[in-house]
Amino acid sequence: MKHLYLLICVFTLLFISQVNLVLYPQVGILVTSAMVILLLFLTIYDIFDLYAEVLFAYLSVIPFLSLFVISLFIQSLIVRDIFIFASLLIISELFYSFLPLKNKLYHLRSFKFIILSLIYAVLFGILAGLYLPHSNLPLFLSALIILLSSVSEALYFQGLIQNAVCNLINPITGVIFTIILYGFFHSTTNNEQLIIIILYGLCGTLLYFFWKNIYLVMIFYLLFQITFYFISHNILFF
Amino acid sequence: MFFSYLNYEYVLRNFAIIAITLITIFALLLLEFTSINKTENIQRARKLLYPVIITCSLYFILFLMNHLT
Repeated sequence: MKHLYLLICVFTLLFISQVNLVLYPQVGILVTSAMVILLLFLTIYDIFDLYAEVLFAYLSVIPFLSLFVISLFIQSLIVRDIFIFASLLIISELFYSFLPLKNKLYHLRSFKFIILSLIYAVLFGILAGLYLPHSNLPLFLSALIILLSSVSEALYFQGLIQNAVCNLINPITGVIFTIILYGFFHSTTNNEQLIIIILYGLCGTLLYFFWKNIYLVMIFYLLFQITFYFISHNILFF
Repeated sequence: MFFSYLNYEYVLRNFAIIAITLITIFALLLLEFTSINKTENIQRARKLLYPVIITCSLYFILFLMNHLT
């Protein structure tokens, strides 16, 4: 029970720091850096068990990346997105390489459900593409974002955070917590886009919840984004 | 009056860079202090700081390249 309270506290702090960053950026930067320092301190503070420490270390990545976004020198949105997703991929790969060996991520289990994942992704992609407004983004850079974002998000949100919360409390709390974090990470001012993003995160999270295979989630994200791009010439993350 | 001459985004960027610098220094200090304690749990938890520190240093290389060139 103490872990659940701890998670709710961390979640509230994350919410406050993200809202502050949008509304009052100068105060928000202070709050966010204090938040990262607190999470790093809790990672080392040896009173909780190992799983809680692991989760704190993972969660410090989200406020850290939002500080990155502000301090970047790049003006164009597409290049900025490429940088963010590339650093998310690097961080999650590094975390995976420093983890103990019992937490295997890349195992080929229940791969027969791949067809379900494909159908699911194409249908959802077509519906979302018809629903959201159309625009004209360059093909090469969009393809790079699609590739980077699908792999890095599956690794970070499903492979690291959902696994950590499942080990800490229980799988259903893991699903709820991951979706809320997904919403934080992709916070936009456009409400229609936010609904689609949360539904998209929910589908990936449920796929991992049922079949525990990271490749299924990666393929779902990849195929959804490709279908969405070919229908609306747009990417979901703006 | 002074701040009205400065670009708002430029000030914000510098704030964020200072914040990331502070976080990096803090993380390095944590690593330094925990190296004294040899218990197994702390040694395992220390490993979790490395990814954050490595990404910070990558960011600093980018930042320096941007300013020095």
